Amino acid sequence: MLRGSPGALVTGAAGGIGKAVSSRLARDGFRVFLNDVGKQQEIGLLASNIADSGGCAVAVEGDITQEAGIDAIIASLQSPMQAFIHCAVAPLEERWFLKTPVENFNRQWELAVRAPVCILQRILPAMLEVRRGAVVWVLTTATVGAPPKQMSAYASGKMAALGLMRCLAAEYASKGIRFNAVSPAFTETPLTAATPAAVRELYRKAIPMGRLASPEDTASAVSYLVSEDSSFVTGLNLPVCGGALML
Amino acid sequence: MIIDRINALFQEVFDDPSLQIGFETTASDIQDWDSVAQVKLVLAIEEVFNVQFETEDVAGFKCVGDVVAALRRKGASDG
Repeated sequence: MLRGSPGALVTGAAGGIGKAVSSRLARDGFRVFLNDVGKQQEIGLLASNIADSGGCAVAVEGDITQEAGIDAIIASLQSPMQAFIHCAVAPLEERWFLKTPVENFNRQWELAVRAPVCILQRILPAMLEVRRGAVVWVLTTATVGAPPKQMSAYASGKMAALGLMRCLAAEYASKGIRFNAVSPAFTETPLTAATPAAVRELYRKAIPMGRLASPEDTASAVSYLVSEDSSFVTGLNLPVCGGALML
Repeated sequence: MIIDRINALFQEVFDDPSLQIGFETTASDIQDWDSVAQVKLVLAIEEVFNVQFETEDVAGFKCVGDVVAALRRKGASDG
């Protein structure tokens, strides 16, 4: 364990983006706590790989939608966190609103909003004591402009998270805690691997840079937002989209 | 009838149970028929009729009638 290294908690660490974010923050010098649910082997392997590369990571498996799961995760954190990156996301189903069960909305909102609320209410006090901390949500370009159709459960959860991020950015700006978000375009990950090639090509053509996002693109943006280089940045929703959105 | 099965797919893709297409229906006849809907329609038709269209086939679809003709060439029947 690297003594004195700042701690960073990453949810959804076994996912494509979560893995890239975790690896990048470890290279940046963070002691990374890797959380996911039902992916103990994957996050264990990721922790080993990070260690093999000279970094420091600890797997902290637990269900962030359950109080007991969050309690277990918090108990596993070996020091106060200086960064929290929320990458966890529920699977995305394309359905028209009237054909979307309320349970789908509950699941998306629980992961996007309730889970980070519960985690932050436990880790924020320690950040406030040292007046230092950075929180980043991984959202989606669907939070900017008109959202795609058939994604009301997923997109509304992400937009609610965006609202929460902004509220917290306003409340804690004077206290040294920064809250931001990154909104990646369609990203090549295991979560999106089943998307038909024709649809992926459509998304690719809509991006001026002519390629889909990689998990490392988002990881680089997260790295910036938790670093001192962004010390005057809070409340930002940063699109990572190859020019598809120009704000 | 092939056209009836395609009509059902249009109703699903556009979420409009009242939608009625014809052989002459084109993208300009349905407001939400954009490139995303086009891809979803093609994928749905391929799945339901168990066919695979080539890029040249899809590029040649100017109206629903062109799709029906392509399906018939691939062995689909009105029976």
